[in-house]
Amino acid sequence: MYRYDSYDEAFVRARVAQFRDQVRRRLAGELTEEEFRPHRLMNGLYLQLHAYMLRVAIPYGTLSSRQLRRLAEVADRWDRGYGHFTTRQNIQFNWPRLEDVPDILEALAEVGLHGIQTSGNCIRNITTDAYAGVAADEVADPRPFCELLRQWSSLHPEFSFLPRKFKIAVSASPHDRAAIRAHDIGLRLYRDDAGELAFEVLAGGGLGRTPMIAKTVREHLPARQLLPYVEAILRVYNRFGRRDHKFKSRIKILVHEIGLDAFRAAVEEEYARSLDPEDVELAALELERIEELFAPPPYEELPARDPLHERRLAEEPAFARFARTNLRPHRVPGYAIVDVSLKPVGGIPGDVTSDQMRRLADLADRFSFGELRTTHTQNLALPHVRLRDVHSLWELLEEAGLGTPNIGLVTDIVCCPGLDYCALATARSIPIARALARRFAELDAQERIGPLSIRMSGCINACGQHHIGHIGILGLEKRGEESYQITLGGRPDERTAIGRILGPGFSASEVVDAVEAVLRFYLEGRNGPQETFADFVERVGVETFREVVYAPVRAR
Amino acid sequence: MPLFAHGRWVEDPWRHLADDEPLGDVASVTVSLNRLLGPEGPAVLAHPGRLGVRLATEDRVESLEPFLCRLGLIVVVFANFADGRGFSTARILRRRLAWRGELRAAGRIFVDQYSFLRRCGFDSFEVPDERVASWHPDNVAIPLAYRTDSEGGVASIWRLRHNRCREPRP
Ligand code: SF4
Repeated sequence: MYRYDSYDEAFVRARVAQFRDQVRRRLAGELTEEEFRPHRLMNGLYLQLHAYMLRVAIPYGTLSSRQLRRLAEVADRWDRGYGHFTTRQNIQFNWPRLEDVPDILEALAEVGLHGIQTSGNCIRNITTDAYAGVAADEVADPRPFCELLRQWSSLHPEFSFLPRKFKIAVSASPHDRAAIRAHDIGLRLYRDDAGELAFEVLAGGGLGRTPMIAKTVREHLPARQLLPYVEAILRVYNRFGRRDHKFKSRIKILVHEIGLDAFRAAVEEEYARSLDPEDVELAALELERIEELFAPPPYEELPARDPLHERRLAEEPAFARFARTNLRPHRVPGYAIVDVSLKPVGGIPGDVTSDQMRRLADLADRFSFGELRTTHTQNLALPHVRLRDVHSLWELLEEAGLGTPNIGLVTDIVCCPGLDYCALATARSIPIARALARRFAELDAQERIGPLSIRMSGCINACGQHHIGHIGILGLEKRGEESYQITLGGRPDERTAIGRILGPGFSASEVVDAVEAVLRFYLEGRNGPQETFADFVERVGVETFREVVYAPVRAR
Repeated sequence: MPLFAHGRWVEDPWRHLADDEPLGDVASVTVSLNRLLGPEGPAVLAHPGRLGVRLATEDRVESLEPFLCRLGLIVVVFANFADGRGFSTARILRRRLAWRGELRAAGRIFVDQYSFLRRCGFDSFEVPDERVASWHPDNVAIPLAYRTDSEGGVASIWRLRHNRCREPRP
């Protein structure tokens, strides 16, 4: 994985020193909160309902055991002993004190972590497939491109005061696990007919108040031209994106208002006119350097199947269940990707204690070349586990309360912090997620329901990505009461779709019953277990759910 | 307006004319883009002294292209702290249009933006009176940047790493 050299270190340290001075000026009263705000935001520091919140970037979701141990130390020393993983592969600390933040950032800088551009109207942390570099179905590791984008966008002189925040996601597999179509720019890496790496470039996706699916701006972009092309898109957006209204200032509105053709023409012209061969050459050299750092770990040569592993699968049903739900195919024979669920029944989705972080770091050292991943569904993964080690790993995960076998199932709920923490929230989301998890806790029933992504947001900003959940739940406020709107038909995958609203919202006490009614209707009506929930909704339509849900729920 | 250029406070030799102010015979004047492009344009261009232009935040810099060789100064006005359009204006001028003359930032600029402004190619700064006391760019500057566009005393890490370090662009 990527390792900082002395330049990266100097860069981040200079940034910490700069922020330390800004905090000092704030505490001394030289800066008002209004003046301080843009500085703290550009370092990932929010002011929430009860306290500051610090968001730390995990670039493209790749994390070393050493970094995770440092995050555990931060949680213990300066926070309340836990952290929260987000839908953008980052981690948040909910209780830091302002005067401690420079020290926290310095401690993070020592292990190559920072909070730069995790908020504010700038280019945010680049996200990608959590299984990048190891997925059996990918064409190439997308992370070197992500790292190149990270460096290029860090303190970008031209794009640090954009109309609004800007999110870029990269996928390198036919199966999109990074939801690239829900991003301001989505990049799909593929091999073209000549066998060369190329990108399909999409733009104008986004959730929030006006959800839109990204559209293809360029079908085929030679991979080495990535930066100038992305820069052209950003320049067009920076110049012509709306700045008159917060809700209209994302790039999706610009693309929508001027139309895809006009947008594409503007980008292509900007790209053609500003292309500088020296920039392209230097970026190509840098990409080569980065690629070397992403060289695969020293895998053993192993047979594709492991007899011991298979015997245990046959003999231990609980282990077999874990393997069915939490194991993913690895591109190297004899290895697997092991997902670690942060969604135990009764827990807060995405929360991890410092003890668990340290345990996970130890397990990563022992079983996964010291490497972990954060996923955009708020889970973690150990990306390089020998098949023969999966059983021992599973036992140790169980011991640490981290062995929940529910990846991709009904209780693997994506959920934003909502009204328990977030200053913008209109409703609670965590208690609803917990109630849902309790209702569907039974493992056989979860497997019977099959692949299902429930996603929930505590307000229209949609951090919980409810629009693209198979079942989306949006918490609103109606006449002083929390009201939960359900959407069906969303998809988070390569066929990304925005869910449609089922009907009037439900109260906090009704919403779990409503989800249960939806699922009961599916189980009774599906064409066998091969028909997933998403396919079923597509076949029967959202309308057919109305009667079966509202009458019984409201009758109770 | 106090003017900061090349690391120190200097006198502003330019007169910045309001649209209804006559050109007169002042040696160095700036006019708005509208005035340059309007009916008075030919007279402005034929003015005997040095000529500069003030661009409002929303002005399209491309419309200056036919006049660049006539200009001695381009001022880009920032409407407010959060409006970053002026950064793109500067970048287009410096790189695409290869403007080598003085490029000045004015309006609602903050000292904490200094590195960004320099890296986009600004070389002088009209600092609002109330910000003069806190204008200490050396305290807030970050001496390194990744990208290759680095100007203004900020070293490019990519150039350093790949042995392409050369004098920053003028
Ligand atoms: S969706 Fe709303 S409530 Fe949830 S984290 Fe985002 S802003 Fe806060």
